[in-house]
Amino acid sequence: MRQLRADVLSNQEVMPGINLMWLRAPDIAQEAQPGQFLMVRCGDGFDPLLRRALSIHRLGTSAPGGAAQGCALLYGLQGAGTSLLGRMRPGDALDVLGPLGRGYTVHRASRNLLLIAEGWGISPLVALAESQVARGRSVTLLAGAPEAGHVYPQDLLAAEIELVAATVDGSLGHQGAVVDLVGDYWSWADEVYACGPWSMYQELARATSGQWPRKPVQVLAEMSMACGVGACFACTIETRRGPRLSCREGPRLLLSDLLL
Amino acid sequence: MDLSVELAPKRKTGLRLENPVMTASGTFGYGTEYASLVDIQRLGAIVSKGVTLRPRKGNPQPRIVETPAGMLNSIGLQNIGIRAVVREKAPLWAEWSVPVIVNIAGDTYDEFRRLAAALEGVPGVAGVEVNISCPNVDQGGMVFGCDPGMAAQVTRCVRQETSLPVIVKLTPNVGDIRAVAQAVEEAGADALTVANTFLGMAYDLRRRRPVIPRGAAGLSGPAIKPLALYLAHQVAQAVTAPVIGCGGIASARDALEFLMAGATAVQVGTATFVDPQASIRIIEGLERYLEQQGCDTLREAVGVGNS
Ligand SMILES: Cc1cc2nc3c(=O)[nH]c(=O)nc-3n(C[C@H](O)[C@H](O)[C@H](O)COP(=O)(O)OP(=O)(O)OC[C@H]3O[C@@H](n4cnc5c(N)ncnc54)[C@H](O)[C@@H]3O)c2cc1C
Ligand SMILES: Cc1cc2nc3c(=O)[nH]c(=O)nc-3n(C[C@H](O)[C@H](O)[C@H](O)COP(=O)(O)O)c2cc1C
Repeated sequence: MRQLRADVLSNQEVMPGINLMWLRAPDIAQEAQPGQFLMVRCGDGFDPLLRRALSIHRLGTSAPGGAAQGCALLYGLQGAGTSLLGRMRPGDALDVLGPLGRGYTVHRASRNLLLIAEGWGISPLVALAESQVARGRSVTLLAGAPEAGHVYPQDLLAAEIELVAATVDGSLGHQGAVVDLVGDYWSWADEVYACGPWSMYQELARATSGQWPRKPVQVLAEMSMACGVGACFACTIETRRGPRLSCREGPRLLLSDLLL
Repeated sequence: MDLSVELAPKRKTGLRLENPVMTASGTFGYGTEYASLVDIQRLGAIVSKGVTLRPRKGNPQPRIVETPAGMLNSIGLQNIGIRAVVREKAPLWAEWSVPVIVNIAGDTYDEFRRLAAALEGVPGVAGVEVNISCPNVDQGGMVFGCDPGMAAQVTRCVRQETSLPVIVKLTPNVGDIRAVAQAVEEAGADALTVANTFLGMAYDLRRRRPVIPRGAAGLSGPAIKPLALYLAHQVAQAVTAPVIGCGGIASARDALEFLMAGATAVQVGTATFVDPQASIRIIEGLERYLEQQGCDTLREAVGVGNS
């Protein structure tokens, strides 16, 4: 965990209202695990005040100019903080803290990984997918979006990653919820990973409760945070195993431990 | 250059800090969480998260919401309980050179008594800070710190059980804070922290309800600085015990304002979330200020104000 000023390498809208920002941050890129996050200072004043938590979206070599030690963020323009980020240009410096929290874990023996995303939940799953196909594993990434324009651009993904889309309006891939697709891949998958809104975790818990054999699903359970390091106790999540700090003991938790 | 301050001048042992910059309770965990980011041994002192007799789970989510230049929190004193603090944290603190002060919170006079007793003679504990912004369960939930009599009684309970320096942390949510400050000083407080969070609210427009389930929550951050500064000034005029200024301090400039208003030391809270180095930057800023003023001691540099 470190605090540093990272140079912005690029910052572009890749889907409507969603930006991809590459940072030069060799120290963070070296340490980071997919599923971990950064606490990002948006602007340098007191409004917005608190840092914003953003998942590590990609690591390493796909940075512009081939900079080996890059780290990317994918963020929706939601409010004051992300709007300020949206205005940053290459060459600007961003004050970041990280990598924070516990990321996804992959068992050594696993071959086939099923990843399930909705909205900007795809952010950390792209980092996971890229790191795992690089290790020779098979990855299927199910991506849910409102319509085709909000599906993560295939040309930004490594070719080995199979992306399967579900859109609410049916403009691309399956028409309906991304969770509808899970059954088709369940028996194939050795491990299952998800990131999305709480409502998706509820649907996922329902959809997978009937699947056999049982498989643990690793999710990122995100709560509003102030410090990001476990010092303020703002982001506590009640789980079946007792309270967990999203920032330090999470954000990776098991779907079966969430009280949905 | 000497930045040191004394927070318990009337105690034989005293409570001497190398510099006047402390971390505020609840914003620096148990001192270990930020240790890989911040050179904690350079701090004047660390104040622990509020500790209760038994472990507490805290309040339901959401617990925080940001407001202009500030934040509202309703953590609900989630903590590991006094026993675990003594057993697991104090041994770590005993190896540090930075003094650690344990912030305690009780529902009854008896709980405060037992909390103070549990800390007596524990290596690694340099002092006690008494959070009197809690409701008194025995008296219909009225906040201890809102009534001079109750505030004094809590202070006496703690004082009787410990030989450690006792700091009492006042609530700003009272009519006349000077009356509470004087009562607490008379009851044996070595120093006073001014102040805890201000009560505030925020509404969720979509749900048409307060964002924080309990409704009211504690406001902290730069937004409250002028309010806390005014209270620190009022209290410093009313008591002789050292005053520790707290509320919205984010820069050396802010800290100097509190010192000029009569505070002996300061606590940095919310600013640490924004920049974990905030306290260290403030210490360095104070050193620079002394240099610029051509003074050797803090007292010399700020001692002119107080009015
Ligand atoms: C571990 C973690 C990882 C995350 N990763 C990502 C990521 O990769 N990408 C990403 O885009 N986000 C991510 N987030 C979420 C992001 O941190 C938050 O959404 C952040 O608050 C956005 O900041 P903002 O200032 O832009 O928006 P904010 O101003 O904080 O607003 C966020 C949303 O809340 C609403 N809102 C604010 N105040 C109120 C109110 N009073 N009543 C009703 N609604 C209100 C706003 O309308 C907006 O839709 C992550 C969060 C966590 C905890
Ligand atoms: C998240 C959070 C938790 C806090 N927890 C405690 C606590 O347990 N005990 C206490 O006395 N004060 C607590 N406080 C109050 C702070 O110690 C401090 O008095 C207040 O935040 C004002 O200072 P600031 O504006 O610098 O943050 C808490 C504040 C915050 C923001």
